[in-house]
Amino acid sequence: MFSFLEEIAKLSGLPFDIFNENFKVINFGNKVIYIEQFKNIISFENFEIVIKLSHGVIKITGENLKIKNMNLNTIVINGNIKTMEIS
Amino acid sequence: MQEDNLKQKVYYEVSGLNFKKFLENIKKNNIQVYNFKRSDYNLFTIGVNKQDEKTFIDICTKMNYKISLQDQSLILKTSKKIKQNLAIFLSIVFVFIAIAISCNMVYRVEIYGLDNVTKEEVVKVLNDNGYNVGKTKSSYNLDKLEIILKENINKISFASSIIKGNTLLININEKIDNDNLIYDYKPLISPYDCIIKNINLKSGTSNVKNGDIVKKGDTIVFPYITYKDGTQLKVEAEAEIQAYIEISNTTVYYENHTELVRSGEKLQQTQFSLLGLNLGARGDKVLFSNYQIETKENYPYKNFFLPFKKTITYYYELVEKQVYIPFDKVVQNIIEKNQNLLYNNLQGNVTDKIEYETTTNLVENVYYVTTYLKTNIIF
Repeated sequence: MFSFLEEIAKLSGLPFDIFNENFKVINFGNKVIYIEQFKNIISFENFEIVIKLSHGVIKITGENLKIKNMNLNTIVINGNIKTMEIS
Repeated sequence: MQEDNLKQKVYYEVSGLNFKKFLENIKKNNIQVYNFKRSDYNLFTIGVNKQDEKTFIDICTKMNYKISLQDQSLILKTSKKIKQNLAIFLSIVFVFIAIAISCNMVYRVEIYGLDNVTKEEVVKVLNDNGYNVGKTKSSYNLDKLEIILKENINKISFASSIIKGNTLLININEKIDNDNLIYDYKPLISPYDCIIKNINLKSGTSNVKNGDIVKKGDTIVFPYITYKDGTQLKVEAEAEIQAYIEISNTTVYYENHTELVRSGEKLQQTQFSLLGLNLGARGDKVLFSNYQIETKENYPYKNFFLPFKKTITYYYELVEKQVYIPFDKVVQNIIEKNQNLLYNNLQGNVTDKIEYETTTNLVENVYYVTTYLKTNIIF
C-alpha cells in the first residue's frame, strides 16, 4: 500500500504526506465507493448519503444506496450510484 | 450472504429517529456494521457481528429504538436449533454411531459341509481359540482360523472361511475314510441276443470269447480279476464288444377295430397369467370321459407393453368308433413304425449297413407283422 501511494504522489505531483493523513475515496465503476478516514455520517437516505470527511464533505446520490460495511475508519457504500461530489 | 453464513452475524430491523446520533454511537463503540439499509424515514435494517450484538442492543435500548431480529447467519440458526432439540440431536448422533459400530461386528457363525463332525465340536474349537461372536471383523484372523480347525479336529481335511455382512461363514471338507469304502462294481451284461465278433477287454474277467452266442441278460465281463493264488480283486467291468445282432419287433393288427375319433363336441377354457403367475381361468368344466387337447397362447396386450399371457385350451370330445381299415392300407405304416422303434432302441454304435426284414402272418383274422433289424454293432 505504501508503494501504491508513492506512485500516486509521483503521478499527481503532490507531496506524499497528504496521501498518508487525508481521507481516501475510491469509486469502483459507480457501483461501490470505498472511503477511508471518515468522521461521521451526516445524513443517510436511500437516494443520498452525505459523509463528513477529515477535510470536507462527500455527497453521494443514486438509488438503493446502502452501507455495505462500516467500521471505525472505513465505510463501503454500494447501490446504483449516480453522482459523487466532494466539497 | 454466503460469507455472512460462515461468520456469525445477526441482522436486526430497527425503528427509531435520530440516525446521526445512532451512527456516532456505533462508531464510538467500534461496532462493525453490515448491509445497513434504510427502508423508511424511521426504519432500517442493519447487520452486526455476534460478539457486538450485546453492545448494539444496549445502544438501541438507550436510544429507545425498537429492534426485532430479522435474520441470522446459518451457523447461528443451526446451533440454536441444536440447543433447542439437544436431546433429539444427541440421540440421532448416538444412533448413527451405534449403527456404524454394529456394522463392523460379527454376530453369527454358520458352518457348512458337516457330516461326521458335529457343529458343537467346531464351535468349541472356535471359542477356545478366541473366535467368539460379538467381536469386530478386523479381530478375526481367517487364515489362522483355517489352520486351527484342521489342527484341532482330525476329521477335517480342508476348511475355508469368509465374513459376509455380520456373519462368519465356515465351509468344511471332511476326510474320506478309505478303509470303509465299499466298492460296488457291476458285471457287464449283454443288452441283446448277439454273436460276439470281437471283445476288447479293458478291465475285469471276460466270460465270452469270439464267436460265442450270447443271449440278452448274459454276463459278458465279470467285475473282478483273479490272481494266481486264487484271491480276487474287485474292479470295474469294462470292455468294448463288437457283435452281430438281430433284433425284432412284432405289431399286432386287427382290420376291425375301435378308434377314438372326435365327436364334434368342443369345450373352451381361457386363462390369464402374468410372468408365470396364474391370474385366473374361466370356462366350462370338462365332463368328457375321453378328450383331445389343443392349446393356443398369445399376448393380447403386447402393443401396450403389458406382459399378460392368454392361454386358450380346447377340449375335443373323443368317442370310440368301430372302424374297418384293410390291412393293405396300413401295412407300410406298420413296417416303418417297427423299423423306427428298433433303430431308436439300439444301444451302441452301428458299424455296418442295417438290414431290415419283415414277415407277416395272419392267424384267425389277426395280422402279426414282425420286423427284424440285422447289423454289426459296437457296445
